[in-house]
Amino acid sequence: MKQGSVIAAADRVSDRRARALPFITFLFVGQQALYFLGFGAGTGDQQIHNVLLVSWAALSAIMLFVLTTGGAWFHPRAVRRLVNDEVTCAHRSTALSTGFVASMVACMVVYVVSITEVVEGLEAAHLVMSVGIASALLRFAFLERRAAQNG
Amino acid sequence: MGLTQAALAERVGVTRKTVNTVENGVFSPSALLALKLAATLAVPVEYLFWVEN
Repeated sequence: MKQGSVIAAADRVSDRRARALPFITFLFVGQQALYFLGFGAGTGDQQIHNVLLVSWAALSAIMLFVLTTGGAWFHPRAVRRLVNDEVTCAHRSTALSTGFVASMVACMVVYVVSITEVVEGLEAAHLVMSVGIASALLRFAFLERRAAQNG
Repeated sequence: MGLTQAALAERVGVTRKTVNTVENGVFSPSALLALKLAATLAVPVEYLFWVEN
């Protein structure tokens, strides 16, 4: 693969990722909204609840993997290296920091609420993970889109 | 210099996004990338990057 074509491919993948991330984050947050509004909350008694929980867990794991590795797993190594260059690495690092802080804030909220209300461990974990991952994804998406603009 | 961001990116071996963020001052490049940019543009690195007093 020629240098020019590798860079062009990396640019395309990077732009596609920057465009897709907000949409994926919206899906992820929407899925959590369904859960916390009662459409999926509970102990997973019903089969549909189990499906929702498993799909949430799978999407969370994939999103976390994207945030920690940068994605582009099915592209050639040269393209992957460019897609996850130092700018993207810096963006991922910032995004993960944002996610960590958001998770800590969510933990504190759960802690305070649990003083007066009963908070199930499963729901607490779900909330903290969702807030952390969604925050990190949004931050990453914003940084990547800003970098891709003003060309 | 007469180069587009894409052309400079291709010569340095980075994505256009990287050149864009460095040019707009949004991102401070590593020393290695700064040296590569300067070498590609055939200017001293201090011509491209400096510390504000």
